[in-house]
Amino acid sequence: MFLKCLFYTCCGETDIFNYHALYKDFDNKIFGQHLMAESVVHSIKSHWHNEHSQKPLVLSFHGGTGTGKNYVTEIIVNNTYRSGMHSPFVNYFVATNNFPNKKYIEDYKLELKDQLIRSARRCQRSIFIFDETDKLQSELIQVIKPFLDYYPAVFGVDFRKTIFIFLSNKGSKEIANIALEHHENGKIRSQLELKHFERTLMLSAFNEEGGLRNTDMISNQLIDHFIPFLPLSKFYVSQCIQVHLRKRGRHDLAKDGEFMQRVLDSLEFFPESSKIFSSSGCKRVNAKTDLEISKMGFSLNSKKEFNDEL
Amino acid sequence: MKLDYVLLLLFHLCFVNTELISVITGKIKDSGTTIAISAGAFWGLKDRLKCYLYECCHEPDVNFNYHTLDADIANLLFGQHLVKDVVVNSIKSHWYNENPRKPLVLSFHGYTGSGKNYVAEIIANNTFRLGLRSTFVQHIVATNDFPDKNKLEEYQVELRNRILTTVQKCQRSIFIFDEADKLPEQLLGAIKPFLDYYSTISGVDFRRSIFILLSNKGGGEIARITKEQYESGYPREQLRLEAFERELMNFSYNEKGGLQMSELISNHLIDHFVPFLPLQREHVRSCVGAYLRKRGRGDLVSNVDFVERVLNSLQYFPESSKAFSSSGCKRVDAKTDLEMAKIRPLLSSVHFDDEL
Repeated sequence: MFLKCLFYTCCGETDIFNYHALYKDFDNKIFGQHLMAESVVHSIKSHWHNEHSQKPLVLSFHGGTGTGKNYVTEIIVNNTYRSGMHSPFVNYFVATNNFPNKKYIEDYKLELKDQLIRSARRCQRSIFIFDETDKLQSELIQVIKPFLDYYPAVFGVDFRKTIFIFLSNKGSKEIANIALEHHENGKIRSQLELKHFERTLMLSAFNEEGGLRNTDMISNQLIDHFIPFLPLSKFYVSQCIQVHLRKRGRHDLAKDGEFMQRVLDSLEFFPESSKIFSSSGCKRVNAKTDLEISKMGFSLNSKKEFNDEL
Repeated sequence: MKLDYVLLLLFHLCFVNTELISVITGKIKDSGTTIAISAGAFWGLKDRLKCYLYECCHEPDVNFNYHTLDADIANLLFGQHLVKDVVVNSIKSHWYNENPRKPLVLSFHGYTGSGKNYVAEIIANNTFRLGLRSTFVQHIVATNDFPDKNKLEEYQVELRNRILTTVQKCQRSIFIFDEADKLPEQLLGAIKPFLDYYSTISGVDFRRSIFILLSNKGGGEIARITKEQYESGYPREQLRLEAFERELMNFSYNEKGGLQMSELISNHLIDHFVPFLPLQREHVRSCVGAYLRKRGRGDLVSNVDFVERVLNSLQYFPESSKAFSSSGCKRVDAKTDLEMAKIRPLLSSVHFDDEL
């Protein structure tokens, strides 16, 4: 048994959820999402250490693109399983990729059910991630529903220790509006509280077109936490740029105010009037930073040559 | 592929067995190593032979050369300073980045003849030994590959498989979507997951591949901005990418067709919007010069009269100032050939003079 676990990923002692590392990772890698960090860490921790959990932990992440929804799930997984996203107990579904064709929906339904059961049977601590939930057909959501409920066993498998994470862009407008209003009232961002959002998110997830719309999942209160990902302001985007610069080994540029400004200028901000929040979050930051770096290489070289010639 | 593994396993077995025997007997020490070496040599040779006959996903078949790309774009493309900046730099930094988080996605916009396809070709030529003929370059023309609206579902599956199998063979694959504005929304939706921040999709790692979308969308806007710059008297080299990017984004988002309302933009999956500016008379002149040199008639380049004749046979806009060529450098080749053929009768008239 021991030898087997040395070669294959086992569902046991070797894969230990590390609460401290998770918190540290959030602190170092995710910027400007204090609501998320608190609620995610605490909810996972308490679910993990609860020997008699009544139901699987169900989280629903909401927010605009580039705010870090995918990144957060990756961090959670990396701190739960040794092999991270490659672990066989992490099931990642992208609605548009795994279930693209409406014609085969019956097949998808069976497939999805099978995979959920198979994974949970092998490991009670399985994690299921559904990306782009807003594009998931409601029939597929109906398939998932029984697994999320307060049952000791579904199809003979105990799901109560698993974690379900749903990612979607639903409600991102509402989140942005609340954050914007808050900002315009002159309050600090860290004063925002979860309760400001949860009700609105629930309503918008329930009523907006697509995905979780009108599903029993919400009306039966099966989702434990609705977690808002706030839009990022310039301050946080520049932190993203700095992290990327450090990763590329350009510490010197991280302190270069002019360079940072150039990268920030090449990104888009909203609303039109005050330009407070980045419309692409920290997406495109890497590409734009790389572009500015290699542009600089050019201008430096050409400047040097020019001086030499003089 | 299965056969390869079986072979490898066989060799391993041989090796282990003989070594065991040699350990036991303590006599035939060399035989094990000999077999191992010969197996290794055979292995290497087989691999090299395969790559000699077919294209392989490593050097020399796949070899990105940053310097020649830079030189090619500088020498073969005229009047597109933004393209040169963005394309060369972004590809370079993506190529040398050990851990890119997503594939590089470029969207080229501009009128016909401004060189969008040409740049895509130059990129392919400087990445793959076989250029556009490489199996790792997928050139997808919307109107050609997906003509029938009723077969969209089939196309969707087909396109997905095509992209998946190509990247399975080589992570450094390049996908060129010509006429992306005519690509149905459903098909764009099929591409979308490949462009996103995922470490693997259906078991394939996409983060090292490059996607290039070509479209005429926003050409009018680009022309307008360039024209304004021209009319206010500033040099066009002062135009910056930011001036265009916002416009292009809005435009491709709202204008009908292709990228309209598409997830690609709202999810910010396109890394760079690259504007191809309309060409001015002087740039077309450079095109004529380049073509003449290619035809081995370098002598005609300095013939102002001849070049003017070619330039005058093309169309320009706006009506008032006639600053920009409306067909870019397209048709230049044909018009130059025509003018060259016209010269001959003139030459014969010189003969005629002599005879007199």
